[in-house]
Amino acid sequence: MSDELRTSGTNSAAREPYPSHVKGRRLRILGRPLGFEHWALLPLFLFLLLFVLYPTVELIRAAFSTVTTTEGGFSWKFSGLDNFYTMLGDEVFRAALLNTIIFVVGGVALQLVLGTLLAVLVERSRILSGLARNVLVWPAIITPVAISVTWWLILNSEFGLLNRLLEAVDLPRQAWLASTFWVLPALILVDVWHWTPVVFLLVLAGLANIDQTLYQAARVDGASEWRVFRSITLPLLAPTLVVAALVRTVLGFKVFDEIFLLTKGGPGTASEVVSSYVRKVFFEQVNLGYGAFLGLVIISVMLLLFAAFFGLRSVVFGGGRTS
Amino acid sequence: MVSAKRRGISRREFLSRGVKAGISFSALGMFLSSCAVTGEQQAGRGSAPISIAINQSPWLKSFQSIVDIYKEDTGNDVNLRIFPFEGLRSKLLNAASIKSEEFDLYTINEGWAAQFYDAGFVTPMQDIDPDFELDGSVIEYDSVTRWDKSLGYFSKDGPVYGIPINGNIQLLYYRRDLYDEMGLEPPETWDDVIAATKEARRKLDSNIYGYTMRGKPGGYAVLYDYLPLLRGFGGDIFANPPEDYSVTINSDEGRQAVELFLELLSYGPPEPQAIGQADQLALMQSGRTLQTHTPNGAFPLMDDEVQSSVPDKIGYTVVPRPSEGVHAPTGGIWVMGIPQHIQSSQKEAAYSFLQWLLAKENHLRYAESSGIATRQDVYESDLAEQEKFRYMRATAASSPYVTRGADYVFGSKVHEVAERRLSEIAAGLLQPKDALDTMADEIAKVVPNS
Repeated sequence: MSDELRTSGTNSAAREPYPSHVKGRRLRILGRPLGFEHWALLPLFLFLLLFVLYPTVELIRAAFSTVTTTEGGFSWKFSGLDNFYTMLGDEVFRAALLNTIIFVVGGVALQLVLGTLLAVLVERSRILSGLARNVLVWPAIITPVAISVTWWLILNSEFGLLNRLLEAVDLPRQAWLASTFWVLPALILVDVWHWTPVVFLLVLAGLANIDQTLYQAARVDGASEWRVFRSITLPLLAPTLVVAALVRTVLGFKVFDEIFLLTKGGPGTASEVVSSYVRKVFFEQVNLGYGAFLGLVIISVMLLLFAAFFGLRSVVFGGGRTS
Repeated sequence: MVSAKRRGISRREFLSRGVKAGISFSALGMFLSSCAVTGEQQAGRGSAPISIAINQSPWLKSFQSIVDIYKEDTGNDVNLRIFPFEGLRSKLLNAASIKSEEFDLYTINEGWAAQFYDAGFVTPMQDIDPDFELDGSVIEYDSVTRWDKSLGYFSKDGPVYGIPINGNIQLLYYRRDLYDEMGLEPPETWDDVIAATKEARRKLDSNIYGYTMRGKPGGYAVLYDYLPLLRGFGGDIFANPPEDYSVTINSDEGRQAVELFLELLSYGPPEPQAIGQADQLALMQSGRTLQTHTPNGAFPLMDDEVQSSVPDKIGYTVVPRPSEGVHAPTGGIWVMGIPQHIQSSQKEAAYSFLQWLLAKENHLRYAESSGIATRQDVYESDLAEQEKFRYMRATAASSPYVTRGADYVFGSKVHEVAERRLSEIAAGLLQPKDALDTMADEIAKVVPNS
């Protein structure tokens, strides 16, 4: 066979995938002929155009417009930065943003700690580890609505199991979902219970990739378990933990189901978060322009978070390489 | 030398192309399926079959029963598309905004009827049938069925946009067995309610709450329960809509109302800001509260032997008034409107269904299935004498006093402000006077052209 046909294909200059007599018939873009792999991407491209690019453009358009209902439809009028100034004066949005940040920081921190602890315990366990791996993931696969109803039955001031238990041991019952002090911690607890299994799975996979000879060498040198964890496990798990933190932070910012079903943002604005507030602006106030602007703000915050995380990863881990 | 034969692709290249094609065609498949009309939706198309968007509610079962009767009587098909209460409005707004033909009838709560009427999302009945007139026995609930576009408000002279299909109005639910035990008559005034509360604490189970009111915000929940107190004292949110939208919620009458609100809350659960409708009804059904005011649509739950610990023990009467004030139960009516943009044949089919439903004999059958009728003659019929339908006497007595809720075109913004501030008052987070003044300022800002 010709040496030319054995060319690996990594050097595009040397590669000649198409016989020369075929070249002239193919459609070209930027000088490159379109092959099957390009045409195969066309449906995906159309899908992205219609369901990602077009809605994004419409969202941006609405964000800088005033949208009103009239004559059986909606009318749009460009309003410049009006929605921006509205946001600046909107104390409910400020409260929602602050609550969301507290919710995310508190929830993600607890999930990382608990998820890592559970993964380390399960990974080292000799008995029941298989059962534990299966049971511990159950909360993550239950629908959020079912979880919210379950926790409502636990945390409800009047009928809840938790207050019944407190009363049974002569302790005062608490307004878990009705107190401005307790409501966010209670919702964080629900979120941690729901999503720690995801962190657990990620960390468990990360632990499986750590070279066991490192542990053996450390133990031979007399290192304690805590020293082994701190100096070997944690540094090697760091990329996994960063990914877990990113995933949970992004999803934490999108929290909606538990808030909507358990508290509806109350009491007052004590548990209002950005997603529940944007829903109110869109579907209760029908203030579509302002709701679109708030949506755009949230997307921008998410993009900044992504950029920050990837920047952190490349600075701390040198582009993701750990060795 | 390059062979003239087309060279084969490597396994890696084959797999790469296969994955790309697979992803692309999956995306195409998703795109195409999102454009498809489902079999369930197709059942609603055609001249006779209609599709109704409706909410989950205590009265849904009765509506399903009457729809089954309609199907048997007429041979026409009706497809009920059921959504959660909070999700129904957004579904309808989406359908209206894209002029979707998905629904032939919109079930509209009076709280957002103004928005739908004013936006032209539903068509006046006279546009479908120029000879249309509402039967004189149909209760119009303070003209919630009619809209005057020039005024931008409800008007008894305006065309009919919505047909009332569920006559939810507030009633006082009270434990008649405990009232009898205490030797008390059903309460007429709020003073009577408070006296009964105190008597119950003295004579009866100390764990029973004297009065339960909602304090948990929920779109239009706390304000809805608060309005009978405010209007009972002669106050209101605005001075005289649509002529005068000066905010009066913090007037002297408003202050009296909020004091009564706080007093009634004090006889109920210690965290009223956690009490939503589900909790309120559960407390009544479990026998843990002496009395509450809530829509008559919940009456079937009280006598349900499976769900209620106090079947046949609940009495109904008109929502009390202040000693020097008036009864002012708030309506929570549901109307059905026909979308403006659907085909004429579908409009006619939907109109026929509504006409059938409003006919007295069919409305009686609806009421027999525990539906909340919207015809006065049903409430004055023999049905009202039956023990099971004892709520009807209270409803008939309440009809002359019913007021519309906070129903304005910009009403949802008023609801959002009022819900939050009233919930904060209930939670003790704000002093009443400060809260009322703050609420008034915030409501003034949402009035168009304020």
